[in-house]
Amino acid sequence: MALEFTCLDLNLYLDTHPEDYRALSDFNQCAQQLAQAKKEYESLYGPLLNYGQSPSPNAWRWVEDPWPWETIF
Amino acid sequence: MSPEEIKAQGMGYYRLARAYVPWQQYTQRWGLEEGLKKGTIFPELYRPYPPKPDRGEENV
Amino acid sequence: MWVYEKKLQYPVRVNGPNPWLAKMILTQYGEPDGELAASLKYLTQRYTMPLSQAKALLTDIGTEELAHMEIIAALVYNLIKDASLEEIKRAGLDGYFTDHDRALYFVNASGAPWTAAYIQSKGDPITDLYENMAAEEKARSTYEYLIQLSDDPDVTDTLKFLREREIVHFQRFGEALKLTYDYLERKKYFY
Repeated sequence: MALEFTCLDLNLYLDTHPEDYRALSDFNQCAQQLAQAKKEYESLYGPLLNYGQSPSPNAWRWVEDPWPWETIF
Repeated sequence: MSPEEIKAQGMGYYRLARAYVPWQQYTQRWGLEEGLKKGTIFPELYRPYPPKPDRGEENV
Repeated sequence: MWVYEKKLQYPVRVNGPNPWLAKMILTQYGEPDGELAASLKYLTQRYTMPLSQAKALLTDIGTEELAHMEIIAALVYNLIKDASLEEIKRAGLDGYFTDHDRALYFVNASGAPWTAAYIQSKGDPITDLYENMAAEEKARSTYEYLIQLSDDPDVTDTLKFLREREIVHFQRFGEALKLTYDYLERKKYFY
């Protein structure tokens, strides 16, 4: 969650500062780590994205509970 | 106002009837957990609420 | 094209049912300065923006506002779902309950349903950006009032996150404003 948020805030910054190469390399680093973290998450809890963006190897886990508004943190 | 005149004025030139927001420079950013908790990864954009009262003054 | 990610942007925790607080927060769902209005406004404005940075920014912020709408919905859902009918009546939600039970519905503070009149899309890119900056400030103030009203520290924590996001969005729109002004001025003199 925190990783994705960092990527998002950098994303917004880069939209208005597209030539800031330091921010760009930070973003790419972040994105890489995020992809890794998502893979781990998904192998434990099921797919994060719909429409074919996340694999669903053994069963169609997209329909599983809890949905985000039901998750107890 | 010709383009040369505008260029010559540089950053110090402000027009009437227009709003200006200072341009953010990327200096540093917080780590993952802290960024999420605070709501932004950029410390210069962080403005906590309620603002801390000054010492010795009652919070209105 | 939109893809949904099955995860909240920020965690939502509540300390027990609180329909009164839910009623207050519901305003950010269906109000003219609420998240739905903001999201659709930005996503609608991007079609007529001349500058590609502005198109990107409006798309990204518009999408983020949908995520915020989800957080508001999760807050309200969790604050109402275990509330007794007595508590609901005390909170003045009995009229709402008659129509919607504990479901979410887009209304403003006086019970008027959401309407497309809340979406401002004037066409002039400068006007639209000023409108967006004002909208972010209005959202920020509303969150500040909600933070003052909230008696649940976990809810307050989530509200503080949402408020800080509005400040960041304001900064981004301000930068987009400068970029758009510069772009339009160059066009005026060099063509």
